[in-house]
Amino acid sequence: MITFATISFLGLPLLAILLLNIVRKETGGTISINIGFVVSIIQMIAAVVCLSLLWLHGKDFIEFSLFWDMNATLGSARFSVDLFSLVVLFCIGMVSLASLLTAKKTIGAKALNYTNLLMVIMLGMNGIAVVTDLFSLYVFLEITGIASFVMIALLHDKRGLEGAFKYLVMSAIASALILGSLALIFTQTGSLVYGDVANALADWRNAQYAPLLVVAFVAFIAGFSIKAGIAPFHGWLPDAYQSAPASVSVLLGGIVTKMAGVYAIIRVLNSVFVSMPMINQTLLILGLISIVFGAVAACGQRDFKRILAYSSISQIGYIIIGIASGSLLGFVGAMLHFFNHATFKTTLFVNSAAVEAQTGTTDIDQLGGLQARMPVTAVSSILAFLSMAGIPPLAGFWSKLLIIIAVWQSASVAGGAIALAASIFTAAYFLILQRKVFFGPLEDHLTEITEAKGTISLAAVLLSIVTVAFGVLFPVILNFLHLQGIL
Amino acid sequence: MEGQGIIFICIFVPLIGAFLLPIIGRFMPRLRNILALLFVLTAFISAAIALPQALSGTPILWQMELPLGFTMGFLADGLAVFMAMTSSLVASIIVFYSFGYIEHYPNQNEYYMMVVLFIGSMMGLVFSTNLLLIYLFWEISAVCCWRLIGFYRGKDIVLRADKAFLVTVGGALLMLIGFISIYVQTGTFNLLDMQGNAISNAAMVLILFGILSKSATLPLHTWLPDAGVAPSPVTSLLHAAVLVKIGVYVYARLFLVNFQLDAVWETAVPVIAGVSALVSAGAAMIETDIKRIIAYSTISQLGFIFLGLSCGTMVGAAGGLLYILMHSLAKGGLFLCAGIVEHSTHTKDINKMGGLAKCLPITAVAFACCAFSVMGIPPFGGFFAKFMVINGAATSASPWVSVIFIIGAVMTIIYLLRVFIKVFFGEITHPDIKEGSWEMVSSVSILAALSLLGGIFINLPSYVTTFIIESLGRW
Amino acid sequence: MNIVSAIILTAALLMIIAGMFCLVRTYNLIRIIIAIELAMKAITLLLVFSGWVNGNLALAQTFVITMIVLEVIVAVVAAGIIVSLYRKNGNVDIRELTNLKG
Repeated sequence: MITFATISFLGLPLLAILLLNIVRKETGGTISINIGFVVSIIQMIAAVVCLSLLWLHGKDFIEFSLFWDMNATLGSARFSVDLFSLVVLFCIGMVSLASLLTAKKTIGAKALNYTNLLMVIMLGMNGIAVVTDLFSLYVFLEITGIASFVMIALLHDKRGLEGAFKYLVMSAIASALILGSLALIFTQTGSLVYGDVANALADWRNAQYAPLLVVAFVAFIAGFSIKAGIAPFHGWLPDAYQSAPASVSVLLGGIVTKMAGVYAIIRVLNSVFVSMPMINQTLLILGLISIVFGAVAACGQRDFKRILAYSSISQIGYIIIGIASGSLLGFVGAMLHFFNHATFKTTLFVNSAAVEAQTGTTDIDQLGGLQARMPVTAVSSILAFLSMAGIPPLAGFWSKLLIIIAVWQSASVAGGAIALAASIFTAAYFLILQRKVFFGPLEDHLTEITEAKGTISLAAVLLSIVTVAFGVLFPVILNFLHLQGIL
Repeated sequence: MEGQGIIFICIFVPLIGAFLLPIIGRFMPRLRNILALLFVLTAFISAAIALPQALSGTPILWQMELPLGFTMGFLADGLAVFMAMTSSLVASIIVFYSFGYIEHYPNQNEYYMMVVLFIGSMMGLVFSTNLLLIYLFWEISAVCCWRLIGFYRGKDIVLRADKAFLVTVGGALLMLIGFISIYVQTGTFNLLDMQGNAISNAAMVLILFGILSKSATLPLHTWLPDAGVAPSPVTSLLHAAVLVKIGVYVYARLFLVNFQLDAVWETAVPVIAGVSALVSAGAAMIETDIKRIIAYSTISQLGFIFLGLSCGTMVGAAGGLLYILMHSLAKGGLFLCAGIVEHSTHTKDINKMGGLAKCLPITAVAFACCAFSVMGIPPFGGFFAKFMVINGAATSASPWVSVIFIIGAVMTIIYLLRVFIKVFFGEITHPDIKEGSWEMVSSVSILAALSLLGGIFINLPSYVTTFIIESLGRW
Repeated sequence: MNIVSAIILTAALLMIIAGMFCLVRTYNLIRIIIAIELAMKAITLLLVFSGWVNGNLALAQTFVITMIVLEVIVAVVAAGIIVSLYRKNGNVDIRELTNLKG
């Protein structure tokens, strides 16, 4: 059971890619989307199964390997899942499902290509979640990255190509930085397995090449900050999100950049650069800049997806400061916010997809009063936004609260206060968007608009239920985490 | 402990029921209206049932133990039950009034849902024993208020709704920073665990910002007059019964019941309240929009409540509580009367009205009763409340503050009489208008009657409020 | 640090600087990709160097081979995007890429 569940994280997308390329191109659209549904649902189930097994056996992590021996030699890829990676794997399944549900109505003739790439991107993200050495992390980062460039340019339109190219260049620079720092670290450690590197770096100040290691750390933070879209390294992110096809922005905004950037940072910080206050402080400052900058910049945007992109920058800042606080509470908060952000940001991108599919535009100046015509979209977007702005009892409030308490207690009082006060900007762009798109009088040219039918609305409803349920049941979750000894 | 169910009924019937209303409203609008009223009345009745036990000294308490000091609970002590009864009473009358008022507008499902949700969150807030729960219900009410102010959906109207939301949420965020600083200091969010703690002045300032923003007191008051674009029952609900009282209640809950404050606040808060009362009374004297006048009057009257609660004497605090009740009834009535006037004449400008007493006799009488109560004319209820507050302030550490408020009270009389005379006497401008629907007229009559009865049988409410304040054991 | 290490590190640094300089100076999409590839080659050199320093050359070789494969894929995708852009815009000038603005 457990072997099957763990192997499915990497094996299933691979298998699906094989299957997808057997079906005939002309008729493969629906079949391929359905295969995608199966894969993402199985992934969610597998994550839940592993999670419960983890708790049943009282273990901290489960190690596994794919086709080779567990006792293979140094440097070969060994995988391991722990609580955090399982939560993340669940998110991947969930967001992929939402993306597929959106794609079913919007992607049209490109369904087969889309699903193929989705499987590649899932493989890449699952890989990031389960690897235990830095080089494999890089490999899976590249897989994820390459698949997302192609996905952004999937429709071959001018904007998509432009966004994809910008993303590609920035991502290549980030890869160069990460790989350069890996090379420098490898010089010092002789291995890139998380544990070995952590041991070897324990007193890096006395190392032979200590100055080079400082360069390595700086390059590392910069590289992952680009991947995560943390301000001031965010330049590519709004363009990529805005230009991607609807279902692809769901995927990008919901999970991809978080996996490639934020998850990688958290994993590396937790397993490799343990107890390096310098890195934590840098990330705290970067996170705060992101929070404030992203939220303020979002207020000035005029495109639905672009607002969401900037708000992603801001919300990723919260995850980063949570992890930068260095305390357990901050880590749990960051983990929960990761999950919550995946939920509500996916909801919002699904909403933007619905608006785009029904009205043909995401320019908020051309929209207005859509609530009367698209109630499901409007209500789910309100819930998601309130969750994002940290309005209780929705999910986002609780994770934000934990993060801010953690930062306040362990890192910096001012940081916590700034992060909390910045929520007002979140509320501000939430209001701007609601006023221009959903609330307010119905524009004359929009009277014929109907609610997005079928799977798009289904995705929005399901994700909203998750957001609300997580928020309302949070005391239970908190108690549960406490009983499991995690908090 | 016995009777915890009653708190749950009081909080969760409106809170959960609110979400059923839009579903029911799709098929049976009439049933939806009745259910909405029923939910709010349930809250009132269950609060009334909890009253004897609350006053008996062993209040009903329900708690859920949580790690990290997140322990949540509901406590039905005298103060909580008093507030719950006051707001749910006025709210049920307002819901009844809405039957007639908004039956011609779209989005009624949302309207009833938001109103009932609003009452539910108020009930939750008053019983909460946890700072986080207070914040939680506080924000739910802000969201409801945002939807309700934007009910008519005009561009300008939605902008004002956004303004109200931003101001109250901004204040609430500052308050949350204050709460977290308290949490970091004490390690808990549970109020019962930190009874009698002293809190830092920084935390006090932050929390005060939140309270002032919600209670629309200077300098964070400007959203309240602007919120007058909402339907009249909503403004009544926001300005009179529930929303602005949330801030006052939290002030009482935190700083009268729980925390020790620096002595400086016993002067500072009354001064803020006094300035607020005077400035807004001045604004009320020059405004010409009937709803804005009453809104400014609300800001001014809230100053009196703050004065009573913060002046540091027992009479003042008891008067403050009594003032909450009387003001809710009377101001609710005033707004509802203004709603009838607006509904009939389709204008809010008092210069374009006149002689309406002829066509709207019942409304005129109700308006007069409520206005007298707000002015503080005996034997209306408002008089006793105002008397106790000023009496309390005069015997406090800084008696000169009461002078400001006496001036404020005089100004209240002037501007309310001005409105009354302009609207109901003089040249007849709208000869062929009719009274509002029977629901509307009867609700304003009830409120007017309650204002009068509250004054005549002043013994009962003043006994309750004095008892509540005494049992806090502060003085 | 011996002389060989110094030479290799300097060479790598020079290549990275050259790549970055090219990246900043050019408006041509193809040159941008070349610039990035140049920097990546410097990093390949660094990887080999680090394997040599810690005596783990075999592991470093596997890293380098894997990395080259990935680099090629990125270059191919980039080239594909550039070709499509050329078909849309009629040139490969980065100043034409101004459709997306905040």
